[in-house]
Amino acid sequence: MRSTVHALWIATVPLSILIVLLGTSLTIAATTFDYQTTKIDPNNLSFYEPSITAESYPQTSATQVRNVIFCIGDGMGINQVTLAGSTVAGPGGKLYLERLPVTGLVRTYSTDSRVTDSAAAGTALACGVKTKNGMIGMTPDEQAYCSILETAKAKGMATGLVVTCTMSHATPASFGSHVKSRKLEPAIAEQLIDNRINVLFGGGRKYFLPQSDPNSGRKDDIDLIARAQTAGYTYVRTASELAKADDSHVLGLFQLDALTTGASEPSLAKLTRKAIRVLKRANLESIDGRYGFFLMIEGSQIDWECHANKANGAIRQTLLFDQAVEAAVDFALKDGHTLVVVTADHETGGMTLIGGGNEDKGDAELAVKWSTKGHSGTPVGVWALGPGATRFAGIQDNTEIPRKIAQLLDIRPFPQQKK
Amino acid sequence: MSHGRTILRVSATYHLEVEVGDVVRSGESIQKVPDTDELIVSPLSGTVESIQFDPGNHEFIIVIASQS
Repeated sequence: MRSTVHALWIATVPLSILIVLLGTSLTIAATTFDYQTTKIDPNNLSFYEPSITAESYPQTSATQVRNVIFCIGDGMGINQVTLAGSTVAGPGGKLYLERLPVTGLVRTYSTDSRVTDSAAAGTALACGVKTKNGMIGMTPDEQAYCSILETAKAKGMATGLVVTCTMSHATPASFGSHVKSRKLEPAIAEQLIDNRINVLFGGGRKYFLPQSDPNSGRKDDIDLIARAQTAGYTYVRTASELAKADDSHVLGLFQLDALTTGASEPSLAKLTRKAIRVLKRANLESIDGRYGFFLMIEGSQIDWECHANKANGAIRQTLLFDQAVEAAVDFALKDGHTLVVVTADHETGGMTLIGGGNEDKGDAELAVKWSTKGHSGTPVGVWALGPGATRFAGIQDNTEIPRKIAQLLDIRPFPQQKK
Repeated sequence: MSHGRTILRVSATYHLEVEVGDVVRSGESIQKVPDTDELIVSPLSGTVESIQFDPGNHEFIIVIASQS
């Protein structure tokens, strides 16, 4: 395993020249990404244990889908996956997610652009309908559509959302809320609680605090944490509190803003394992265990590192996401009735791999070129395991993903207008 | 020499047509939204001093230092 990754920062070369040529006192910096992750060493990949084999996981013989774990890598294009995999396992190695036995491609365009954003793509993946960039859980004419999570809940299934962004960011929002703009995070947070989703793990505590709190991101007096507790949620803020949480509804908000994805917080994989335990318990408590659960997991910050064109950060975030996929697959293989679907909402950065180093010559550099700081319109991958997985093979539209999940769960009709 | 600085916030979804260090003129394109006629232009002439990604708002914060 390579512990250090060197990416070629092609865009910075002319910038360095420019600084010399100008010779002024201007402070010219490269595109920066001054978020909480800046305290984390992106070269340290020691947290990740690569798969010892590149063999595909086995296909299941079961046909009945009881549980669904839907994993979304935000901004995770095919090349982001390839780069992370080749970094930790060599060019012939695979990430855990690449070992899922069924693969396909997904087109991602939105109604107003061939380049989607996470709101429109999240809506497509959650509700099975296309919308405009920026809109959450509704079509461009503002008709709200039920998400696959909401329809699963209506069927009696336990539900959960696990992310590393704010809980009310575009992707989780698409599964549990309906608003005209992704920027309405306080309203989204309110809808997430009112939807009584069993598991809500992520960041963004500020949107759950009333404006009287100095850390609040709200402009009203609504205390969503108190509301959640009144509704029966156990509320946790730390890994140790999470470990003790033993309830059918758990609200875990581990940062005021997005997660740092550092060691001070439970990792996405740990959150995934805990979410599965809570959902299994919730399911057993609420019905008779027949109805299963729906869980969405997002590796939210792959996108953010790619916006900053930071290859090392993108690798690290992809590996953190892959660990969560491994946790999901571990459960699915033991359970036998769990469908795992892994995909991305879109690609970010227009990442191209233009070469790799020769390790035999002591040169392990990975050459990465970015074509943009924004999103791209390239198709993304989809990988599936479990009963019904073969339906995800081939090229498909992003709206087809939740429609196929709905068919497998016998949810009809889907898409479904919200009343 | 630089004088004032202007801060632009634009969507991070779409491609930026400027990079740090670029000299832009007033009215020059900063970002074109694909499949639309929407064009974000520089409100002043100057040098692109920094471009920062704001993940919370999913926007780029572009600082342009004006030139007299």
